[in-house]
Amino acid sequence: MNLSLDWPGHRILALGARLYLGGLFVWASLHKIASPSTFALDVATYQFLPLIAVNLFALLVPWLEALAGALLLVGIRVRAAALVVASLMLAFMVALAWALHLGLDMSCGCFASESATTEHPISWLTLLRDTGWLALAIYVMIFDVRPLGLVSLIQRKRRTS
Amino acid sequence: MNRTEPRKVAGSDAHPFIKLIKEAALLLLVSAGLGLGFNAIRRDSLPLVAKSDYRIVVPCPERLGDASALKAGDSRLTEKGTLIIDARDQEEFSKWHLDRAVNVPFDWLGPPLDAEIAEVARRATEQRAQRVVVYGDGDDPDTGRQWARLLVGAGLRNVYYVEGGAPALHGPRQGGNP
Repeated sequence: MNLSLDWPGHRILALGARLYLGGLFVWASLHKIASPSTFALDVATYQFLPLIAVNLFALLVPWLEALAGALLLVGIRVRAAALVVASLMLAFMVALAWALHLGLDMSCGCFASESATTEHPISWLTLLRDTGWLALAIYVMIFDVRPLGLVSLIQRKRRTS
Repeated sequence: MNRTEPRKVAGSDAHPFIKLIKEAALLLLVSAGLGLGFNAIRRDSLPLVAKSDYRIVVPCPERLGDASALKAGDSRLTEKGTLIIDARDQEEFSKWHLDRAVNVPFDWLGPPLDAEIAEVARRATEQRAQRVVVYGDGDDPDTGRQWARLLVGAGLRNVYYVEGGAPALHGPRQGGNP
């Protein structure tokens, strides 16, 4: 892969990464926005945040996921959105590593209300999966300098008209 | 030639990374506004600070497999290559047990630990057992069947349980001790 920022292929690759990450984050945010109390329980189960911060985290993070995901999808402020996604992934990974270190037998609570009945328990594979998503977010943040999307489409239309 | 300087937009000369941080911070602020605003208008709104500890339930689900059933009169029970586990409590075991049976009690309130399962596996290997047969109290649910399912779930093969448990075996007393 060409590591030069000017390489035009980055726009295409980053578009794929953005659509994947954006869709993933919007989807992941939906059940958390719909049921913040369940997500708060998921957050508390990690035993990572102090009680005082659990609900605030549960109220804020899903919207941050949704907003960042939507921006990645439509191609507006993508690098800032990718920075947010990367930061969230880092935070999730630290919490996940902490839970694995404690030996907690639980699900990650990433995509559905899975707090108690654990059909998909967390594992080091979950951490590996998150590392992949973090890498994608960093790639978009660094290389998607002129993103394809709504803004570029509008700009192109303006130029042609 | 009359040159005109491009108009500078406020903040446009900031370092690109600083600009990025500012945009991300703005995103954070908007999300906070949306999250708190949406929470304020919903019926089942969440208090901003939890008033009491969350009842964190972190279950440790035992992996259960499907153990095969064995009739009480099955000849495999008396074969040498069979490791027999008595899943009843020590008192029941001391009153009567099948010859060569090893007592590893099953308690519904405190299911076997991994170490106990590993111990059964170790015995099976040590005895070069071809199969493990578990019998329990024969109740519904049966402790023997549950033990056998746990062993299968832990990866042991050729694990059976005796249908009807000890009461079914106790009748014919196949080599059992009084």
